[in-house]
Amino acid sequence: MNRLINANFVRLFKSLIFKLAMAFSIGLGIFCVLMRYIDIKKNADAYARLGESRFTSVDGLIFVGGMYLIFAAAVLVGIFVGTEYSDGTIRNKIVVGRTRPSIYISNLITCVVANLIIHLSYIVTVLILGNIILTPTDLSIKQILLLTFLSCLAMIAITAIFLLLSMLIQSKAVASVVILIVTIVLFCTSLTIDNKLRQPEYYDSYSITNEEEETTEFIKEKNPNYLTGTKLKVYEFLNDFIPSSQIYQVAMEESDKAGQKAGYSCIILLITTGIGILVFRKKDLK
Amino acid sequence: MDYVLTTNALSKHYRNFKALNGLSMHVPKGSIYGFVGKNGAGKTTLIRLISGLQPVTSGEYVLYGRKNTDSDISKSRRRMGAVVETPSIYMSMTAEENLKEQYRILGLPSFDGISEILKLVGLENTGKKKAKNFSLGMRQRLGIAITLAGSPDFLVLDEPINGLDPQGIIEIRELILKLNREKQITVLISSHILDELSRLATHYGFIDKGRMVKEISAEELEKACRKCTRVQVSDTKALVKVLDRMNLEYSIIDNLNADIFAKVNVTKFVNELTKENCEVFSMNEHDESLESYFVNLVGGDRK
Repeated sequence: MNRLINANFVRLFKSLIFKLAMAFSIGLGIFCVLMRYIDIKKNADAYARLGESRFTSVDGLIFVGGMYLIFAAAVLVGIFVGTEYSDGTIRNKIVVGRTRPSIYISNLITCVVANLIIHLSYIVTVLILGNIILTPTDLSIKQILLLTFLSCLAMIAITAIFLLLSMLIQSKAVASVVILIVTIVLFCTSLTIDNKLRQPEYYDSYSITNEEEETTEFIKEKNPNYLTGTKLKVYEFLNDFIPSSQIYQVAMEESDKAGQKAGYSCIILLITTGIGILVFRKKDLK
Repeated sequence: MDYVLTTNALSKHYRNFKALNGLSMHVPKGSIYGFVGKNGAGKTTLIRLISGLQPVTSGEYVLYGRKNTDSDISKSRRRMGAVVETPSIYMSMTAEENLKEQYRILGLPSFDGISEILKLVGLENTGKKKAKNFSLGMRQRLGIAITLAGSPDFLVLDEPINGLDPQGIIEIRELILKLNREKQITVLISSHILDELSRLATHYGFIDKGRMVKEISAEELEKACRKCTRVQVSDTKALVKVLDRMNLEYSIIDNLNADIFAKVNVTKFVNELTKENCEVFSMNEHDESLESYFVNLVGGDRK
């Protein structure tokens, strides 16, 4: 398997898609920091009134790129693995006696490492540039490491899902489209879940006074969209379980239930890899 | 005889379709085995099975003494190279990069030998040209070069000359002959371009509807296809008498037709038949080709 991994890495580092994904990741990091810097300079008074350093620091930017890098990961896995099918080169591995599980695992390792490099490149870019031109982060090193660890695990789980799809769909074009659709669905699901969970229990009370100084008071009202009971538990479970939701929470710098989330990512990795190897072993290749 | 590959009642079903239906074949060591069949006869399916790309439905094959069910069948596969349908090459890489990638997959300690392989297949001067800019013939030769990276003893080529121009066909033919003669590589070539195959093959296997119709050596086939004079007469009994008298080798086809395997003195022959009250309707030089042999075997449309 080491031979397959070695061959994969040489191909990966030479590939245009990896170089583009790296450029996107680093470029996104630079773009986010510069945009905040420009905004702070333009609206210096407003930021001064806010007073809190979290609005002018690099915080809030360090992990936000993860949400966009899921798309880069999807494209990379779809193209890197799909090329093996479209160029037929997966046959070269099987014909010379490499086993199917070793081909699957070597592709998994390659894609995981590639996506982690891309993900970490963004974080490092933002941290370095942000700490130089913005107010340095308030997060402790421990917090940064924990959030990085969680986002990396979620990225690994998401890569495993993409790999499963691209290894089982022999058409590069179809696989790429399916992976992108899955990514969009995951992205939208995560936003919806987060939105539902952030619903307040009550709408705030407020009063309106018109020109004749008549005041109408609106009393605190219960929010019908507020989740309770089993529904709340299901949404909370999905929020912790779905890797894109985990990445979203990390982007918001929320690191609660870290062990549980890490466990879910590992479960996803094991299940998708198990299914993938099982199906790929029996798959008719062309 | 030593066999590199034997199959026994090999079957492959895709749902209700039987792509291979109890196929048995024997590929002798050192041969160029021409695997002949119409489109859809099951040639590529067999190649996919022995290459490990698809599992068999039933039956078995033995590759270098190991059955397909043996856990160490991959060791036998390391001794073979295959180009299945289209050449398996990275289009975004040069010829040299493609070979280096295959060397890494094989775990070879150095890249020694790459220039020799490129020279052998005539791609030594392609430089930085990417495979996507190669001609079909060049891609085909690069596909073969990649299979040669593992120094195989058995090469499987699926329709290697499909779509090639005449020059490309000659190049591939010469390459296959060179590999077989100089490197003693056993070659299995599937094709339905029979004329081309007849210039290469030392053995033939004729497949139809997933079954082996006939396996025959090139020598035996030559005998079966040898030159003859086909005559059509009014009475084959009289013809037999005359041919026996003239001491000529023959074969009776039906009540009217017969093949004579010798040069015939036409005047004498016709005179003798006239004495027996037998009329001669026609006489043609007959040279059965591989193509007609195949058509006679499997019947139906020529492919």
